[in-house]
Amino acid sequence: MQNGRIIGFMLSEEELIDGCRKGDRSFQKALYDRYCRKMLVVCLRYSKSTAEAEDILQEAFVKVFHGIKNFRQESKLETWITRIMVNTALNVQRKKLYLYPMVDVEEINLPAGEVSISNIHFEQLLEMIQALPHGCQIVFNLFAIEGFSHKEIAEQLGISEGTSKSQFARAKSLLQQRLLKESTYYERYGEAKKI
Amino acid sequence: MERRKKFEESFRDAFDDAEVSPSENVWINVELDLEKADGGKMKRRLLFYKLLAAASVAFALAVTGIAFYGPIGGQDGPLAERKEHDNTANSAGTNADAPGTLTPGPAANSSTAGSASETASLPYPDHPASASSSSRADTESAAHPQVTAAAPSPSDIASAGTLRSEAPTSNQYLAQHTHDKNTTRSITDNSNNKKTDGITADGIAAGQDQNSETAYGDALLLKDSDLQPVFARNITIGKPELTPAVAEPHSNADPFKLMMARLADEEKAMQKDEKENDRQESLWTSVGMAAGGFNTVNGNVSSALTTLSSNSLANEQIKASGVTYSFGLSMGTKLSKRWVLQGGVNYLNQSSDYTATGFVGDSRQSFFAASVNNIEQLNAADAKQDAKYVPSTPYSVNNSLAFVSVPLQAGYLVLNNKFSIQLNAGLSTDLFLQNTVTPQGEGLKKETQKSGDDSPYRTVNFSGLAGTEFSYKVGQHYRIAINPGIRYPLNSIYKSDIGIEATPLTFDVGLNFRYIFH
Repeated sequence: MQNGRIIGFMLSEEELIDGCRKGDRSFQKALYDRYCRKMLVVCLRYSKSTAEAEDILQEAFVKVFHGIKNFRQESKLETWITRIMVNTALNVQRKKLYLYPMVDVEEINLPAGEVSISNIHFEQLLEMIQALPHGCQIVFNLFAIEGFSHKEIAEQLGISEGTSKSQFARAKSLLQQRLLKESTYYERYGEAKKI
Repeated sequence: MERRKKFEESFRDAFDDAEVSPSENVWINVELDLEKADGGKMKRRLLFYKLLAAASVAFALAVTGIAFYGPIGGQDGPLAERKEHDNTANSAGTNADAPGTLTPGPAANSSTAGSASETASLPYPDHPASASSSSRADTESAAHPQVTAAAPSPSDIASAGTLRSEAPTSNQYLAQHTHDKNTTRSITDNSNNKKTDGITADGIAAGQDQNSETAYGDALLLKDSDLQPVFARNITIGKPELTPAVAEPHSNADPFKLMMARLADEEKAMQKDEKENDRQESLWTSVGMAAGGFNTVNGNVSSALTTLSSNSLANEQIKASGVTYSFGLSMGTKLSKRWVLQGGVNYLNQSSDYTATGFVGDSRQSFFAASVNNIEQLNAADAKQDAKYVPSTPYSVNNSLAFVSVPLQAGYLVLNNKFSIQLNAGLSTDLFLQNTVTPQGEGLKKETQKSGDDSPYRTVNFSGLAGTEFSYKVGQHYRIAINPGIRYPLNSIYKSDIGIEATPLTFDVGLNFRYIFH
């Protein structure tokens, strides 16, 4: 029971939650070990660098351990932790959004043809998302991956629904352009191009 | 539409099982943050108890110190001397070679030689060990005049004469007297007559004239009851009372009666002084500090703020409980035997933590924690256009209020002795100085707002005070006091026009050091 990793594999979600509620450090470590890798991906999607993502991860896990006493287990633990990660990331990014507010962007024509991402590794997709302009990156994540509606995004970010939509459209367009290049490269050389 | 959906879903699927290992430092930092937070919580929780415990320990130490050293210090040498006498008497009882040994009681019977053998014939079967190691035994022995007068006094004096260097002349002289044949004879005679009390009297009164048999005779005429106080006063007053008797060899007056009269006068004078001292606490000043906690049980946010999404924030802030501390000076005076009036000036600080779910930023790239201050400013008619409230994930904010408090209290002395109990009640005028909002999150600035038009807090507040004061007098001019009390604002600490009401109830425990002028 002293080794957090062993506990992490052996214990159920309820046992982990109970241990963390008591403030037991080994249970906290076990919970961290179980979810940190997945959650870092979430943080990476909302940040521009690994260092920034790790800062968000750290801050969010502290919130998880402080807030787990109030976790009512109405959703899965992973879903709840993910929500905290996203909120923490948004909190960090919101300051940047305030300085560089999102505005409506011009209508962008989507590239013709279907773009497949099945052959592209998630790390490459991650880099593509990180390369998006700041506002686009956040709206894309919230809409495409987290599944929020534009209305919800608008409320969360303090922007208009139209802005959210146009930012997403721009993000999608930029990603598709990039993906198209990757697909062409793949078709030509057989594997995804190293970005 | 389907194509779009497919695009988004494919992204979602791509990240479904994606994992990237973070560096080891992340957990280390998480752990450090958790420990820091735990420490902070514990610190806040324990602050009150620590201060209370510190005050209690200081008080207990002071009382213990006074109990042990105060009374002894007041009578200085004699008690200490008396203890030495007792110890000497003990050791003398087992040392036959000790000069001037005249140890009474059974112990002496078997161990003392020479002149002491005469002492052995003294009938003291019921006498407790005369060389008692505690001063309480002295008062007990006062109930046995034949014992106290005859045995302990000479032996004590003799022993002291051999050991103590402070007053060698009189003591050694007296010691020699106990060896004098006439004296020892007198002891035998006295023992036969059960009037052994006279030994001490002889030893002292005839100190200047070894052949003065009449002096012994005079002493023998004294009653037991006359001698009881002599011994008692020998304990409390000690050597100084012996010296004048020796120093007046040719006086016709009975030296014992003179001594008794003098001692009685002194005792009366001392009692009178003590009573006067008690009455004399008519003006004092004190310096003190207090620490405690406060809680706003009846805070209220009116509908004027409901237009803002930050209504809950105002609720959070005003209803947050916290810690308080104060320090300052005060003066007090006695109005009558039981009533006192006291007032002063204190610095008062009230600090609480609340959870904010947003922040306020402006075009100067400054971000502040959301607080009633900001809400009030955003709500104001002349609000800055560039300031904006932005929702965020919850984070902790510390709000610290500073006041100058001018209390005025009336007190009733329930118990007015060295240890006193006083009930206090009164009013305090609290002048708001400033409040400081310190966000715990990174990137947000600390904000301090002084009193004035921009502040949501009233500049002048009035509070009701009630408490109890337990005090102990330390010496003639000092008193130490512990005073638990409550403070309740008679008006809301927020301005009426901002639609927020809060009257935090404070409980604190103070520690005061009082200097009594007269």
